[in-house]
Amino acid sequence: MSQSQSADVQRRSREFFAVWSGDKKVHALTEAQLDVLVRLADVLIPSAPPWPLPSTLEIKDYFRRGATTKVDVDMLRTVVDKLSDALAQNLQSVEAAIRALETEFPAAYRAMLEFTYYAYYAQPEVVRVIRNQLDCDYISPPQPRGYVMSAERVTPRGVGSFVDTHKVTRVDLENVSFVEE
Amino acid sequence: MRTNMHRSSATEVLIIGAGMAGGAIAKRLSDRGIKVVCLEQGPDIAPLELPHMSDTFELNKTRSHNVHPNVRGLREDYPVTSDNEGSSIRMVNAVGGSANKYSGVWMRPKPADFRKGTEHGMSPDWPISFEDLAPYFDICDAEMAISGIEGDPAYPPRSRSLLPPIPVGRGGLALGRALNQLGWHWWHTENAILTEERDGRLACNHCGQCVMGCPRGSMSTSATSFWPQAIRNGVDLRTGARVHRILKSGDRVTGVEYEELATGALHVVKADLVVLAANGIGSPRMLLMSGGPDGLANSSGLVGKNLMFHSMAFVEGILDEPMDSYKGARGSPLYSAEFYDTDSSRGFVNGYTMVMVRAPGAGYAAMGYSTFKPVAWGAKHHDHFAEMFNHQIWLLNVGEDLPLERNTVTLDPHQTDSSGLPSPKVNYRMHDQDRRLIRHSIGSAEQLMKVAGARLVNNSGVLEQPCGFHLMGTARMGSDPATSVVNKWHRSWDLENLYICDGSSMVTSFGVTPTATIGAMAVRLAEHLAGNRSKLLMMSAREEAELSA
Repeated sequence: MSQSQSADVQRRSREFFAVWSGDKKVHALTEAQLDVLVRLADVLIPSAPPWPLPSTLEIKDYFRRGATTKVDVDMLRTVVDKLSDALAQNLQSVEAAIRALETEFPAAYRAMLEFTYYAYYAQPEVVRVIRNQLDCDYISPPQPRGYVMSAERVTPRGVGSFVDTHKVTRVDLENVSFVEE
Repeated sequence: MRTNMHRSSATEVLIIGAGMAGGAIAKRLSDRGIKVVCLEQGPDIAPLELPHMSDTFELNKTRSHNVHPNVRGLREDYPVTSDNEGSSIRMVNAVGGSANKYSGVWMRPKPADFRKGTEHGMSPDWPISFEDLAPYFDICDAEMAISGIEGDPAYPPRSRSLLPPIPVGRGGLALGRALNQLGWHWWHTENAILTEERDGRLACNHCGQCVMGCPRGSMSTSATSFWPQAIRNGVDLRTGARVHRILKSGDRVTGVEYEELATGALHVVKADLVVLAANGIGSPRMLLMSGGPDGLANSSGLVGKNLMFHSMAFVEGILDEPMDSYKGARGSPLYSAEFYDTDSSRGFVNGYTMVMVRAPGAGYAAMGYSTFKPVAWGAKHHDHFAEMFNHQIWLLNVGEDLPLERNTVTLDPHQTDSSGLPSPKVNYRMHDQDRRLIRHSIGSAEQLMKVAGARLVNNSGVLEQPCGFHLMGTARMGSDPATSVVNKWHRSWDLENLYICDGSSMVTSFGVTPTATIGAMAVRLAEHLAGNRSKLLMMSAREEAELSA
């Protein structure tokens, strides 16, 4: 991790956060580009019953509705450009191409992963599997229903203190260096 | 909420910014019959504009509803640039301000926090004490409707009426038991979240998506807690009103020139007194935009300097048992101040809190949430997801960072907002001692996670550009005009009728979230203005500084 990285950069790349655009034009991927992203989603999240394969769900529509800004569409186009050829080959070739994308175009890779994961885990069929397989009450979207939660609490031991204003005194700074490297 | 027509006009008090401070001041002044105009460049956000009921809510959270203005790119926002590798600023331009996308964590500083100059000298003392501010914390807390439990031994005793605390969930139970086992301080975090219905607002139903706003109105912000009464009192709140500059004549400000964003028309509002409350980046930007090369109110040269964010790191534990990871108010069920007070034997001064956070949806959790380690893709995806989902607990460590003149808000010479006004440019590099502090916090949190039963512990590392949702220090208060921008009553040392009150007023950052402090400072200022209105404009800032609380 680079020393200057921020939480945002770690999440989604510098390109994503450094840009500012007053451009309100709606950008869009083509049907063919959307189809490539769906095929890639099947590689990223393979079928493992009862988990459904992404291409059997409505994720293409999710991609279409979700990718509308220039920065997203540009990054996903990069994904399509870099991985389309590999899709014509075997699974190992696609996986190798995805690993290369992660190294060479990390921002595009993150965008691909985000769109795929968000789209997949928003599907009602997937949410049902989460509830059934993982024994929980997860819902998506979270409103208007929300969740019921137990009011059970654990009681703190009551450890803790504070220093009164008039008792604040100079601390011993012998062990503290304020010189920067 | 009704907002008013744009026009040139005159008023007693003009407030720039309708966020936490602006809302609290507008409400309190108008309670006393004072005529107030407030200009807010953003809108009044309606509950159903929020994405909580959409299947794309997680994508929206990271895009159209992102907390970073550069990502949203809305007309009412302004870009924030940086020479660092991606500025990490969180802010919202709207009625209610950046609290429209906060967690509602409502923490007070401690008495010693106001005396860091005395304690170690790497930061100045505040010109006021904890005791000066305490009554206003109580007033603000009551109006905001805070949930929690009295009795936290880390604070002086206080007597307030709190709503019941938010549920801690199974993750909170695990951490609470582990903290008890370690013998460390912890308490139920206070949150500005309704756990009971109030004034037509619904109680929290634990959806966990607080940082996108709350469609139920369960999150208390100035938009829900102050502005409705302020409007009923007759405050002239104008949204879509972008202030271009503060107008000045001699040693006084006379009002502002603002743009009606919908039409581009310019208007002037004249005022006896102007309160700037546009956040720790927006306020210095406004001052720098409004004057000559050095801006307004800047005889100290400190406008835009001493920017503080808090040092930060996330730590994640993955346990075998289900943890309710995806539900419950994100805010904070519990926190620990075990390492809050300075203990110089650790090799650093100041301290930190460890604040439990939670509740990503399944997609956001799969993307790694706070520690940025996504679930594996490919054949192992489902197994990895099942091992992780609903088994995570998280701590956000919040450390006090030093005020350093090198950490700045300046005007970008190249980038502008949609009105052609210069963007603020942020530069922040944390001090090595702050880095040692937050590294220590990672070790402490990892120890806690292991005692809680985590079989795997991840961390974000030190966030060299911390999450910039706490914007502090850039027009600080003080006792000396040479080392501060405003006096202890938030009044400019240079301009007789200009007050600056928001995170920029803070002298130090404490190791806690700042919204409660901003609210308390605003209530205190409003009481001061209302109680001394007949004589304030007859005295200088130096004379005013002699007024006791």
